[in-house]
Amino acid sequence: MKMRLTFWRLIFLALVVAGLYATTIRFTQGLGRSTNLSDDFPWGLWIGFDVLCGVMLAAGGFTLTAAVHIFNIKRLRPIVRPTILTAFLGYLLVCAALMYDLGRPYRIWHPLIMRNPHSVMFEVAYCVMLYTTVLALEFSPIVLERFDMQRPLKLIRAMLIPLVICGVLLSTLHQSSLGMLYLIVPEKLHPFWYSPWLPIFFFISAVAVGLAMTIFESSMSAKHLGCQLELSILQELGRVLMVVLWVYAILRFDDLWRRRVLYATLQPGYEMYLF
Amino acid sequence: MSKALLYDATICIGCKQCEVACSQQNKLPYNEAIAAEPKQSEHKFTAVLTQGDKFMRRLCMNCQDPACASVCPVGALTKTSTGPVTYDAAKCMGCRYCMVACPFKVPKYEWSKLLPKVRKCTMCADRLAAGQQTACAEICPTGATKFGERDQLIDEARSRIRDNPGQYVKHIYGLNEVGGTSVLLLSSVPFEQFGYPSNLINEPVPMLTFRALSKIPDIVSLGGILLGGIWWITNRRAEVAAAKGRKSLPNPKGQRTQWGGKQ
Repeated sequence: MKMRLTFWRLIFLALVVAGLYATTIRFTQGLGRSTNLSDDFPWGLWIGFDVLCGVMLAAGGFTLTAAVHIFNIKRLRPIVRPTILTAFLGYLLVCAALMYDLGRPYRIWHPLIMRNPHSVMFEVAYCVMLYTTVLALEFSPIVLERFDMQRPLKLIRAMLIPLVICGVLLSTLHQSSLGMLYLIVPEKLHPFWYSPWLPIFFFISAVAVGLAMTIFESSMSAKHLGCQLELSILQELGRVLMVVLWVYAILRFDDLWRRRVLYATLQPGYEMYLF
Repeated sequence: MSKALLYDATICIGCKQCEVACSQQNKLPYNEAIAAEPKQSEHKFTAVLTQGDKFMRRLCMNCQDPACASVCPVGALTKTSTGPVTYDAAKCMGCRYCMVACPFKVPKYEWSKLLPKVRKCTMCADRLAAGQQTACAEICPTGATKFGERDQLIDEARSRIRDNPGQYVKHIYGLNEVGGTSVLLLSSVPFEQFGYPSNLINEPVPMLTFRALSKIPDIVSLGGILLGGIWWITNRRAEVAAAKGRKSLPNPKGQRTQWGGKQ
């Protein structure tokens, strides 16, 4: 098969080259040289884009496994496997990104034995580790079927429901705890964003964007890999997505109203435009 | 009893002897260029700030209930019973959540190193363990930085404000901020002029996350039971439907289940 150099392939190739270059700098000269981080900005923008949004994009995995295996909505079954794959890839990418971001990545296993249960970051670390494991197990039947390994396949199938329940719980905790990370800095966050409800907002928007990602990725694979587009399923997901977004919007405005900062959304400034 | 430092900006003469002593104690470089840097950094744990004839010290506040120690996933930062908040570099994996969480922006990072550490004032924890006072308090020629029991220093700060009306802002910074700190400050000008945040809450900030974290056991147990229950119901429904469907196979009208849903 001959690869043609299309516009998008060229862009992605450039990104890969830039990434490799940045990787070399990061692991030979440290974070200060490779990033614009400073004592004033200890966390980069990628924490927001990659760790927070990236994990949310993987939320389709737990939403759809719950819908199909727990709520027994059989119609959705055809798109469960692709979403599990997306979620698994998403989590692997987050783990890879953490290896870049941690000051001493070779100590990433430290939370396993050095525990501080009062730390939200500790919870995040455990959720990432355990949910990645759960996703690997949920994904494994695809590999096992390919190589026709019946015994481990049986074992996984027997574990499926407890596994799905663990996955849903871990995801719920993980998505909400990413919001919880910011509960401790009320004086640093603008009142638009600081809310005691942050964990709940993170969770709801994760469900929404997880569904959106599922729709996006199904359409893309239908277009480029020639899979059959499950249009009726996607329409149904779209309807659920709208409900979730409305719930989010109402809660969000209710929260702004209760905290008496709704008027601030009309005051001009960076924050208003970003909001 | 917990030890503390009382810094009285009205007595400080800005000689920066505390900066010198601190650099020696923590084996940090010190020269004229570093002396002129008006902020804390990885190589400067305390800084004397100057505005006209007013001075102010910045150093780790060694909070009574520190945000940094509460957020550290591996417990590298610890509040000791004697006062100091210490750091164990061997545990730290470099997530930098302490830097994000600290209300005073105290922890600094060795950005230029390949294997960086968090750096901050630890209130001379090893000197305190040996029964000595902190290096900065020992060297201070005017007594602007004073070491002692926290309770006694609070009493002293109160009486200084009471006995010298008009000389002080009527506020002991660190008495109640984020639940109290082991460094107490007195000043004749508002503290926010020197970068001390004035919008802090008066309860320990770790409470903010703990309130949310403490709900986790409930979410896990209730969520587990709920999800398991829902699964049991939907599964049972499918089983019943399947059984009915099989029984009534000859009769095409019997395909509706007892729950009214289609099989």
